[in-house]
Amino acid sequence: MDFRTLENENLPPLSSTPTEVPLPKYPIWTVEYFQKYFDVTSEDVLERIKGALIPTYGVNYLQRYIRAKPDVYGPFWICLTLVFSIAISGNVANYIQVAADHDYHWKYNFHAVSSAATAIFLYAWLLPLMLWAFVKYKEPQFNLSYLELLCLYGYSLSIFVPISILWVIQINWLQWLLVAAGTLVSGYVIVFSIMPSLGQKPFAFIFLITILHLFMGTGFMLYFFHVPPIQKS
Amino acid sequence: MDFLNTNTGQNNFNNPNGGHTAVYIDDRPMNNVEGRMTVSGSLMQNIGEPGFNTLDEPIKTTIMRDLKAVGMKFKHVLYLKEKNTLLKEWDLWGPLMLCTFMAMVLQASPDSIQIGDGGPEFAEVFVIIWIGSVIITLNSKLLGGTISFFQSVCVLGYCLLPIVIALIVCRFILIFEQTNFLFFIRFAISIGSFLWSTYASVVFLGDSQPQGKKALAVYPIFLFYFIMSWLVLSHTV
Repeated sequence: MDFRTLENENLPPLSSTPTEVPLPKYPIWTVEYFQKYFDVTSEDVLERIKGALIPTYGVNYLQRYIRAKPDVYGPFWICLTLVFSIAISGNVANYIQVAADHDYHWKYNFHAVSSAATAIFLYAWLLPLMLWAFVKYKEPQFNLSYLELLCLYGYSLSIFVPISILWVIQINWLQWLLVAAGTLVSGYVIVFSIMPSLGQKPFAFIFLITILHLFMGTGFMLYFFHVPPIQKS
Repeated sequence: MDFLNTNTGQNNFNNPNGGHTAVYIDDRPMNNVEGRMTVSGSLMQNIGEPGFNTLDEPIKTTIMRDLKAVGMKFKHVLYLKEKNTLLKEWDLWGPLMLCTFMAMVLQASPDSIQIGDGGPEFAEVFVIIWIGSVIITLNSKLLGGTISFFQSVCVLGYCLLPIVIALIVCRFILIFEQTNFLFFIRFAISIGSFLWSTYASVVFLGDSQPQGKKALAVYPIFLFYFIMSWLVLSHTV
């Protein structure tokens, strides 16, 4: 006993240092500060994408995959992939439409990249922020963070990467079917992850989220892949 | 009187032919100055600098040596035998050359807005290449990679070389009348250069990532070179 107390009296400088080592505090301008948002392995990211592509009924995507450790890697690179997959396959679709009439000189539209980037990053990064602020204002006990909402929106968009490639096929009903499938799957993932946190009257919020989501899916298809009959003639 | 005499120091005062100034210019380094310079030179040699002195050599030698270093790095990208040169002695001259060349060839000419290809402008190609490699580098740093910032930017820039070669070949093919067969050849060349660039940069940068995160660091590189090859293939005018 005496030895113990003596040791404890001597130890404080030693025992306080090990507690600081596992949780170093980095200032915000260093790269190390942001490393906590990229602390995922390849398997984690694959699992999260798979979970968003093939949602299981009755499983809360946010609780199951994201809550433990939301990351920024997924949302950022999924959005960037989507920007370029939409821009590239939009160009290919345009080429296919134009190749039918030979007298028209096809030009590729590089600036589809900037319009796609604006639309997608506004939808996946700014909308969750506004949504979070709005819900927080209406329902102060709303317990999700902006990071979690961002992660949810980012990963749920991953289904539009394969869909944007399939949109190249110029069959009208198939394109609309893909719009429906994409918005349904990603909308399901988003709505059923947020719903438990929305409190007593969630339906106004859900209505808002669904409308915006439908608008996004239809907008992509019409703007980048669909040529109205006037331009065709 | 003898300010043109670059060779001698105090020896001139002891010259028996007083009044006669020996005017000759010698390229060889002065012994006493050389003695002082080697102090800092030997410090430099410790961190891998070769034993030459850039102060008293013709400027042509300096430029040629830098050009040779850039050429050697280009060779390493194409042969992929050893990777230390590119990683340890990074420079941004090669990336700057490749980037400027690509931007000049790929840019849409100003009168082609109505009829030509709606390609990117000079600044857009430039920005995509530099911002792209900076984002990839930041991404690998954020994932916990151990490589330094400019090393990574240097490697990503140098590994554009296969895509630049593809651009030159495609530019040449575009001179002829375009057929489906020629399009297929351009397509194959672009895909090949894209795979080569990705493979080369993964060879150079792959070891710097922590276990289990390698795929996360490689994916952005894949995307970057894919976009560059898309620009090469889409360039039709």
